[in-house]
Amino acid sequence: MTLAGGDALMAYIDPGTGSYLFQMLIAGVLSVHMMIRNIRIWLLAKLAGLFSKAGASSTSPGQADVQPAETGKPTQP
Amino acid sequence: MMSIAERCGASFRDPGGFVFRREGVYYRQVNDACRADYDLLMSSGLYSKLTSEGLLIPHEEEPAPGAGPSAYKVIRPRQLAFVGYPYEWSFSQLKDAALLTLRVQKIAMAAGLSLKDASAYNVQLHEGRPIFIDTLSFEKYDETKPWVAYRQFCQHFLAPLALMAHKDIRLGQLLRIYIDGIPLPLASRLLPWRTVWNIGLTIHLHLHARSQEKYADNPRSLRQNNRPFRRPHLEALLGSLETTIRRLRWRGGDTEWADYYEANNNYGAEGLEAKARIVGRLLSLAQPRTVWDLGANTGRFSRVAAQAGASTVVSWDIDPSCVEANYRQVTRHRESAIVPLLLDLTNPTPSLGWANAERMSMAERGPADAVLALGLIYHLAIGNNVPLPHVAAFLARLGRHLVIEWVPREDSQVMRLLASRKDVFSSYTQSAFEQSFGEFFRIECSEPVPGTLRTLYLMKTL
Repeated sequence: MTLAGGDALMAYIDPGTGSYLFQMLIAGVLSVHMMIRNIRIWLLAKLAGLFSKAGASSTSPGQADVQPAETGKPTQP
Repeated sequence: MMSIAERCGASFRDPGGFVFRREGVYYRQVNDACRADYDLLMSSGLYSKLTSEGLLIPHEEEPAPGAGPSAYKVIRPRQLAFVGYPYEWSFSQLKDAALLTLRVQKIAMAAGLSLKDASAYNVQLHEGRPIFIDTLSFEKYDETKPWVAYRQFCQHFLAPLALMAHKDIRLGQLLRIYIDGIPLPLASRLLPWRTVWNIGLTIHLHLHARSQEKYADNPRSLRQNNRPFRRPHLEALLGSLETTIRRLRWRGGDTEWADYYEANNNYGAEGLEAKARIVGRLLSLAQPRTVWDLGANTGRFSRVAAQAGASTVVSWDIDPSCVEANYRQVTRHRESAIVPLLLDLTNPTPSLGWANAERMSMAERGPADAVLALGLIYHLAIGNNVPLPHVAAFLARLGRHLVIEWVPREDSQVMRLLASRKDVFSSYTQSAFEQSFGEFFRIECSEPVPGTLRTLYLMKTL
């Protein structure tokens, strides 16, 4: 197994020991949280599709993450 | 050999390369240390994707060799019209910059690269939209490692945005003190207790801050750690950060500003139109390419300057709400000429950072071809007790032409300022104004503003 923390200090900026370790500590929790969130979005899209013919095209999990910012649309070409 | 003077003051930390300026053009040198990562950026298709989507500043490779034995290549990025700093941005500009950084990181990961830093200074407003400007921020992605830029992202973006949204918009100015972002333990202490109910802020700010404090004196714990970390973990982290940032809103930024001018000064709509026509006419006489609009409010007259032919109009104002409204208009309509920035003219942005040379002061970024100072003189001369000759001397440093509005003491706005204080401004007269400014400028022409007691002047520095 590769140790994630092995050569973090190779970074040219200081990643911060606490920040680096914290990511490993919360990784599992965040993965489960995002999975539940994506399933919820997918289910809501399916439900919306049932009640609206126009909304029949389903949204795949995680798609909401790539919506443009609400203020302005800086990330759209 | 390149002199140190040509290297930009902010560009010394990354051994991968640096920015330098030669004959007015900015270049970026790629060092051998960054050769593999730069080549991967270009060959992986990431550069093409990011630039075609307008997310990364495009560049051309220069045939000229770089400086020193470590030089690999020199690139010439598309030139920015103006550089603004995070402590001068509106809430939404900082938020958009954060979302842009996360989006660039996601796209980079898909191409096998990752951002090795997440500084807010890597983003600039370019042609009406935020764009990532640091071509050398990319490195080969190691899927077994956490994100080295997580700490920096939270300090540069999450902490100031959370403080501005949940505590006070003015706390964005902490970025001026903490040039590498707001320390998370400080942000955690300043935020209201209710933010613990926000799961994103609890994780990425409050608990993250605790972790920083706990391990601050124990760097060896990094090597003792054997927890696995994989791509899905980082994707979840980025997704969580994005959701947290998106949900941050500043309520003061939601005000409608359509009638701002009419509601806040003594012009009628016709007076404003007449003033806009005169300002446009005076500017067309000066034909400036760059204009600094001081006290721009929401940028109405900045747009007059843009229509008069200016390609860059920096729209400075002290009010975060006005800068916010201005920025939203810029991004909504992709107004490429307007750059809205926050500034207290009585205490302008100083030069900051190492050797006072990392971030430029307001004046260092000039002079502009023309300065607009409309409805401003009484705020400086009476509101801040600055003698008229001092005002003239400072404005003469900022621009070659000056379009300035004289506002007499009989004007309702001046009378409002004087209502609650002793009038020690006997020298605040139009003749003293002309005499003071005449020391630094030649008065080209002047014109009264119909329906008001005010006069507009076009001046040129001596």
